[in-house]
Order: sequence, then C-alpha cells, then structure tokens
Amino acid sequence: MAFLLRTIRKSKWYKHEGVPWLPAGEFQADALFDLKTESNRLSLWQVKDDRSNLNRVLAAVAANKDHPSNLDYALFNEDTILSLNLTLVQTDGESADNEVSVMWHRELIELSASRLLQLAKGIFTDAERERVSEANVLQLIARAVKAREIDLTRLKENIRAKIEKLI
Amino acid sequence: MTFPSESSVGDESRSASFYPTLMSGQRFWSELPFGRRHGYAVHVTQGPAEEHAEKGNMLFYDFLVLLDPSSGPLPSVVTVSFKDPTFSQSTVSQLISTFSWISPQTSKSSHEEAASATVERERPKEIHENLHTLLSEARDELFEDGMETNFSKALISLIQCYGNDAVEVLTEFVVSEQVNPEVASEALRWIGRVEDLSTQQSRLWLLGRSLFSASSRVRDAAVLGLASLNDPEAVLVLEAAIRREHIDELRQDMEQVLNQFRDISGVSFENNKKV
Repeated sequence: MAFLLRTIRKSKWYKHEGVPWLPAGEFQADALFDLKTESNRLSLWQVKDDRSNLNRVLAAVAANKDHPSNLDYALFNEDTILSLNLTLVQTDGESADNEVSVMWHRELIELSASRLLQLAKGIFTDAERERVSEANVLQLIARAVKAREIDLTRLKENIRAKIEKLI
Repeated sequence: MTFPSESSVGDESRSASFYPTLMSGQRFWSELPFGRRHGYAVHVTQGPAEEHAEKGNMLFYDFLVLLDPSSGPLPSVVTVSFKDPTFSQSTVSQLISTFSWISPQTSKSSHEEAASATVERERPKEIHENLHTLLSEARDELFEDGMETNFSKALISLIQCYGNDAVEVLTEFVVSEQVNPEVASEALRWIGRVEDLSTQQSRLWLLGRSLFSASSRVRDAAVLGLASLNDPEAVLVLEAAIRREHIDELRQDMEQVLNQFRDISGVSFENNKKV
C-alpha cells in the first residue's frame, strides 16, 4: 500500500508531553491549519510503498517555494484514507518537477469538516512526522536539477542562487 | 576596567541568597545552561536576582557579567543590566567597549536605566511602532515554510533599514512574550535568513535565547532560524538547549542542527573549542 504525504509544521503536532495544557491523546487545533482545504479539497502527494520516489517528491515540493527552507511532512498509509471512506483522486499538482506534478499528485475531494477532523486524528495517530533540514533540501533539489527532473531556470531566485553553487 | 584576581568563589547553590554575598568585581563561576562560566560580579542586588532565580530563568540574572574569553566563541555574558542609577556611566562605557559581544538588549537596559546616553545612540522611535503594528497584523496571516508573506518581507526590510536597532526591538517583543507565539516563530525563522553581517551577532543572540522559550513552537523556530543562520558560534547554546529539551522530537531536530554545525568543514567543537 502506498503512502500519502502532506507538508506540515511539526511543532503544531507535538503531543501532550510537549504542550502541557493539551489533554493526553488530543492534538492542537492549530494543526488543522496544516490541512487547509480549497474548494473542500486537500492536496497530497503519493509516495510508493517502497518509498523510492520520496526524495524526488520532496525535492519537487521544496523547489516550488520562494526561499530555501526545511521541509516538514507527515507521511501516512493510504489505509488511513480507505478506513475513513474518503475519496482520493489523481489530479495535476503544482511542483517544480513536471513528472511529479502529473504522476504523484492526489487530492482528497468532497471533504466535510467532520471528515477532515477524522483525517487529522488519523494523521496525528498514525503518520510519521519528519523534517528534512534546509541543507538537505538543497542537496535534494541539486540532485534533481542534475538529473534534469527540475529545470534550474524555473526556480525562484533565492533557491536558484544556492543550487548553482552546489552543482 | 581592571578586575581583581580570581578568588575562586564557586556557586554551589546558584541560589538567590548567594549572589548578594558577591562583591562587585569578584571573580566567580557558575553552572549555566551552556556549561560552566567564570565571571566577574559587576553589581549585585537582592531583589531582581532572587526573582529571576525563583523563575529558574538562568539566562537572565541581572547585575552579573559572566565571561571567560578562553571558553569558546559564544558570548559568555548572561546579561548585564545597570538598573542602579548610581552605576557610573563611565563603567558602562568601559564594559561595553571591553566586551564587544555584550548583547544589544543589555546595552538598551543600560541606556534606559542608567541614563547612559553616550553609550548608545537613541533608537529611531518609529521602529517600535512599526514593529508593533507588523507583529499585530501578522496574526491574521497564514505561514508556510519557505514562502514569503507580507510579514516576512516587511520584517526583513525593517532589519535592512534599521539594523541592530530593529533586532533589539524585536528581541524585546519576543523575549517578553508580547508576541503571539506563531508570529514570533515566523519572525525567528526569517531572521536566520537575513544576509547581513552587521546584525549577525544580535540575531544569533535572539535565536539562542529563544531556544529556552516557554513555547515549544518558539523553540522549534529558533532551531530553524539557527540552521538558516548557519553560524557555528551557536554550538554551545544549542548543546545547552538540547540538555534541557524535554520534547523528544524537538530534541532530535536540535541535534540535527548541531550536527550541521559540526559538519562545517574541518571544525570540531570537542570540549567547546575549535580544533
């Protein structure tokens, strides 16, 4: 079963131990900002079950930003979606890598507020939450540029300048 | 300024009652979050020191200078505050000229409380107002890593325009927790990205101080700001923060940044010294 990836801010998902006022087993309301929907749709990226495309997806997403930055993400099994009876469709996404945009972008559609909350609970409980450092993000983008997966000229100036030094 | 030779006063208890026993200029040492520091007592009074000790806010003992130039690149000063108006202006000037790493917040305190007008020029008044407005309005913005916002652009412009004055005012807002933690976090992420050597020390200081914030979100942002700043001088304070951090995830992220600094070519910080 494949995975689904959503960029987040890890600190919004800290558990009770790190946020004293938070009851055990609950998550911070601000975490819902990381699941901001548009037209009741939520953008996600699919990662193969062997994770062989994970770094390429991360590079594509990070390269689409204004500045080099860390990349925090939640990675959860597609089972989470199935168990919640949510509808997942393949659509074109926005990233710096055309193949990633076409092949691996997914959207959850027809999301109600209660379903979104269920999804958030699923992510809180089941997802791996990881951080790629800014330095490693740049390395991933540089590798993708070298492999011609990402077009250097499409990068924003602040990222392009750093990548040019790396390649 | 001449200091007497070390009298080897050890601070075993770090209790408030200990500090008033120090004499001005007396050499002593203390265990701080970033390791043992030797220093000189500059001036000690009971009240504020006790208050800070009770809060466990070890980074902010008033009326003490802690220094040891041989102990590493991190500014060893904990804080210098000259709230006693009898503290002479010339002493303040001497201290600041002797120890160039004294934090900007420190300079500000001396300016305000000891009327040491010659120590530091007056800050443009509009900085406080502009920053206050900026921080207030930012509460309505949604932030995403790596993406510019009106807030980030305005904050960087302010720092580019006013330099250390702007960082000092931001420091006051953040350290006194007058800012929404989410907005403070965004500010800390961005100040690490400003490419300006003239404000590097003051930005480093604010980021290092914020590693000890009560807000886990602010601490996380401080780590990210330090990673962007990429200044190995943060190693000592980062090590101290790691020792204190109780959130496993955050501690691991701090360790990742620490490794980044250690990986900087050919530099090792074993025993807090470059080799």
